[in-house]
Amino acid sequence: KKSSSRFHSVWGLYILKRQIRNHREKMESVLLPTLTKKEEIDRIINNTIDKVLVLRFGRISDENCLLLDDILEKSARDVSKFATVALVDVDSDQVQVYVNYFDITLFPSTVFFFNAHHMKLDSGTADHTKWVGKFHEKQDFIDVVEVIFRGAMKGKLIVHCPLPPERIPKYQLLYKDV
Amino acid sequence: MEEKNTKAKKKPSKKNEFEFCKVCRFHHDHGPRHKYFPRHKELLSAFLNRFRSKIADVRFFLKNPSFLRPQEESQNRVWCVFCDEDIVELGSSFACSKAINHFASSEHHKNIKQFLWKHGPSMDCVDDFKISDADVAKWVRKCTALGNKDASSCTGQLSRTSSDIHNKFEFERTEKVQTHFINPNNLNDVKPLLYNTNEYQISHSGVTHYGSHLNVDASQLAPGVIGMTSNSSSHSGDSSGNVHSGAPPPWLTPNDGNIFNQSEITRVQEKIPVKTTSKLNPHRVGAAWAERRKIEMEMEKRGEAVNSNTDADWLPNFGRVWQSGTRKDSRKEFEKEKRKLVVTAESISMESEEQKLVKTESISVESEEPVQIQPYVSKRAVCFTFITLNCDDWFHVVHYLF
Repeated sequence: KKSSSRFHSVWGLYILKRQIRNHREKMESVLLPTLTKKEEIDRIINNTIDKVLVLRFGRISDENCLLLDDILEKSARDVSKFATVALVDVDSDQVQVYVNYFDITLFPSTVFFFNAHHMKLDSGTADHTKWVGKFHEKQDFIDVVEVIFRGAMKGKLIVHCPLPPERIPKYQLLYKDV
Repeated sequence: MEEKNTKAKKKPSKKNEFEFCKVCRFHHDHGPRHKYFPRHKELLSAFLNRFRSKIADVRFFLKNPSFLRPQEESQNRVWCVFCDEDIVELGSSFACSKAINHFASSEHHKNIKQFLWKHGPSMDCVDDFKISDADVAKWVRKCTALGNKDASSCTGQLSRTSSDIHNKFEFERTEKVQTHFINPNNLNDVKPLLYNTNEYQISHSGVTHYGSHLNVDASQLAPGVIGMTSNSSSHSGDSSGNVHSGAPPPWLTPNDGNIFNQSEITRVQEKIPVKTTSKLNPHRVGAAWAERRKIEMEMEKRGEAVNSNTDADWLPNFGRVWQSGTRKDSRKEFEKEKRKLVVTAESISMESEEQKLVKTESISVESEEPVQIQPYVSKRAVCFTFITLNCDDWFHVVHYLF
């Protein structure tokens, strides 16, 4: 376990460095908007019409979050026609309303919206209202967003996750820290 | 032996390919026996009767040849069922002349025989559909006789046709006419419609039109034609020449007058808006909200007064994790919690934000009834223990009695 955690931290650092290098080289990378205020979140929810809105709640210091961000950034362009991706910094004060409202206890968590309606995703875990953890690869994320979009276009508020159970991060959901 | 014979006779029916029977108008796999079926026979007799009546009409003209006026050409068409071709009286001076010639031809005879061989059980009615050569010869003689008779009225016809203002080409070719009888047109190519056909159709409701004729502009009709206003005549006054003066039509003048040049086509094409017909599903999630929002955004773009979209307390539609019930309920519950938190937060002194959060959470927990954690005991276990206890008592009682 120790070795894996070390590996993850090293990997996270590597990712960070690579990101910085990329930005320095001015490669074409769409920076995902990072939101820190409730008004910003409200605005982005209200302005995303007929597209899936992916909101990642997490902090940059977290490795899992970094990995997730990497995947989100890379696939943001591919899903740009039917989805918008945004990051929410969970350490900001004004965002806590949403952290409580969405019952976010584990980070990173990803919440999906369509036309200001919350979309649920049944991935076999305890919590259908959000996606907890990171994605295994870009294609997994794209598949999930596609399934959500298709379901939303048909009028479904909850969709079934297309990923096999081994790729879905497992977690324990605690009720009020019990 | 007899059994064997019957068995041999009772061959399984051959699987024929599907054929289309022209008479019955359906596909069948009966093969050549189809023509002996009673239904087919009935349909065939009806079929042939219909064609016989058409031929009777043609025979009428065979006995009484008359001139074929250009206007009636289209009415004089016949579809020959045996040869599968349409006989159109193009450029024939006498009524049904082409039809008569066709029915007398040897090819037609061959086709009749083929047809009856394939469809009809009997071949006796071949002569009904033929016109003998003798008859044709008689007819030709009658025609020439007629023609000579009307030699004097030839000019009359000419003038008549020249006043036929619909017939432009005829008008132009009046000088070139050599025969007594006028061939209005031998054009087989169809020119595209250049003018609105509505007026044309109204004016020609009673009169047949030429299949290969160009459309006639409203301005060229006589003012007395039904349905036309006198407006049209005034428009034509400005043009350099018109029908009455014998000028060529505008679409025949090279390039300048030609409407269908490239620029026009591209203009027309541009005008047709390329609509991306992507009508979004009206049943999609949040459709009503999306429509409202689009209208609002358009208003914002135009710079109209924007009504306050979101106040600070706006929350999106969200189904919470630990709530059951509708999303509105979950939102209400959250707002209730929030109010409670606010009240309790005000009562506590100001501390660091993390501690405050922790406290509010703990307080909220305490405000509700403490959650009693009990080990899980199934119903069956409870019942079983009860029964065992009861049984023991009962045994004791029984034991005591006996």
